[in-house]
Amino acid sequence: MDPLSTRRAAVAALLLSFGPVLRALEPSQPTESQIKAAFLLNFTKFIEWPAGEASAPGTPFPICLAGEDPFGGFLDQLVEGENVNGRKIAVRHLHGEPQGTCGILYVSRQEKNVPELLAAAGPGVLTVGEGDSFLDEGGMIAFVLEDRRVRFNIDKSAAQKAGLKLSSRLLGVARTVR
Amino acid sequence: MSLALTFRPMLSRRIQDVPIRRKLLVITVVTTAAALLLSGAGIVLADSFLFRGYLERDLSALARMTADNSTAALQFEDPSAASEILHALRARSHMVAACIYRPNGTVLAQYIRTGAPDACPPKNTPEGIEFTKGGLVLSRPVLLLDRPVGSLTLLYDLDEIGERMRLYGATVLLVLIAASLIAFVLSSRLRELIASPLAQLVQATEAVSRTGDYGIRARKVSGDELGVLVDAFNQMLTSIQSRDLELLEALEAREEALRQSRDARDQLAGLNADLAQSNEKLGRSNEDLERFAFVASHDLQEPLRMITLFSQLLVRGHSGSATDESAGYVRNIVASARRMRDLLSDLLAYTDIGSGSLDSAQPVDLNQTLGHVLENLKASIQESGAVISTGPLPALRAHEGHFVSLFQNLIANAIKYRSGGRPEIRISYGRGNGWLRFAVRDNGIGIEPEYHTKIFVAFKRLHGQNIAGTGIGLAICQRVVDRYRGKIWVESEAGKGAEFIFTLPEELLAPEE
Repeated sequence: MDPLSTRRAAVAALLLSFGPVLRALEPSQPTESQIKAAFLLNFTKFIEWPAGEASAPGTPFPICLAGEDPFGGFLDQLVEGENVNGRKIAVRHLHGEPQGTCGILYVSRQEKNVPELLAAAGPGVLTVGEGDSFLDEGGMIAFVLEDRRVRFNIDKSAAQKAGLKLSSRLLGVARTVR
Repeated sequence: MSLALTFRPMLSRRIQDVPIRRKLLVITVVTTAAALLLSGAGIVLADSFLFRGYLERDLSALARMTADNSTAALQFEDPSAASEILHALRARSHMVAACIYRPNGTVLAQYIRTGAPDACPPKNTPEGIEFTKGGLVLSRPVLLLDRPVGSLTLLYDLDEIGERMRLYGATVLLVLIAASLIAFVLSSRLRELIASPLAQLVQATEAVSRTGDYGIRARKVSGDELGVLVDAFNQMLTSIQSRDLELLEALEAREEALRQSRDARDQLAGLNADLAQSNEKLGRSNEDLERFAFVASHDLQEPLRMITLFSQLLVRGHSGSATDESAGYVRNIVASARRMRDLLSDLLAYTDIGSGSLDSAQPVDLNQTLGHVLENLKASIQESGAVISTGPLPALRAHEGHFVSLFQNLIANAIKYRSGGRPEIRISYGRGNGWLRFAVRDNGIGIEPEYHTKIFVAFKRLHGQNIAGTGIGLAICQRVVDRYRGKIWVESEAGKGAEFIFTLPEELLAPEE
């Protein structure tokens, strides 16, 4: 076997082994924000909310987006037809106004007064943000990038304090759990 | 086919010749082995059937669990978590591959058993469980809140089934060996139970046939069929023994009887020989005697005739000169000589009857014979005035002279021994029961019954010299009748006449012309 074909074979093997990653980079593959939007939606399937305002039957399950919409309306499309415990999902875009009732509060990277937002979120609200510092500021789930892959860290005790029950499967796929 | 045909009798004969205790061993071991093999085969069959079901259920549960566990990994696109979940399956050594597919069919994570060449198959397997050549393929969706979020495929090899078969086979084999050992050990106990009573019986049988002693008895060890057999055997010996004894006694008795009868026969044979000897001696002396009597009477006739002739000449020549006294003497001489002549002629006749063969006999008409007789007796008939009546007589094959003598003597006697008046003599003949019956009846002086047999003996005379006679007449009659195998006897009482009867066999009748 000549050196050239050997190298070619090695490249092919490399390509194959990183298949999913490479595919994620393809144009047709979802973008980082799209993935995060999907994760937001998927969180609802692994978390139990306590009985309360946010989970009143008959009312839509509110996902609140604080600040500028990082998903560019993608989340709105995504939740179409989805539900949480039989409740429709409604995406609410907060632009500085009081939160009101939220099931999930997503705090984007652009938000400056994170602690305020977090303090305003009452019990029974899952707070999701960006970066490890988000957990330090009192958030529950923080998206992080690892090897160009979207992953998340979880502060389990914060979630528990808020009365949320996180599925062990969710904890299983988290990058770190504190 | 022919192999099986020849093999079976050979085998069965070989088995038949094997001692019973070895048969017991074979039966025990074969039965045990058969039972074990059957139950082993049954277990393996049932297991291979049940095991597939078990395997299906087990894999389904496993798949469901894995699928449930991998929901989050699918939802959050986490191949490493999925891989981790799948790697938990490596505890199952028969799990060849496990693959988690995203909803679009691409592989999120896979577990390939080390050494297994295949990667995950493209996601086109139909849902469900399927036994294929390579093994069991199970495919199911990964559901989250009843919605499919991906799918799972498990590849499971079926080596386990073979392994289980081998395990069962080894177990059955081990149990078989152990059971055979136990059977072997048990068979020694069985030998005690069955073979030793049998051995007792066999010993007894051999002892009996070797020694011939029917007093031997087999020892009864058990109360089962063998015990019954021993009892029956002993009973048989008893009956054989008693029969043997009876037989022996009968044999002895028979030998004794044989010996006795042999002795008796020997004695009888001796007596017979003696008898034959004396008979022969007697016959010879009788023959000598008769020859002597014949020769004597024949040769005496000539000198007697001379005596008579010269005496008559003497009487005639000296009729004038001789004294009355001497004339009387000479007359006496003549009379004596005549009597002597009669005696000699009778003796000749008597001896003549015994000689000569009857083969030369000719048909004789007894009517004519009787005529000759009456002619011969003419003088005495006329003198006595006897009346002789006769019926028709048959013709016989005989010597006429014999019957002349017979009738002449009987008629002469009837005339001679007459009572006072005129003699009436009746000659009759009849036939019956194979016999010819002749009778000569008179009205003479009769004979007392005590003399009825004596009179047929020669020279036995009842009346001394009063009545002339040679004393041979009836002896001659007896001899003639004897010669023709007939019988003669007299029926008479004193003073009431006599009837002389003789019978002759019918065969004597001359064939009629």
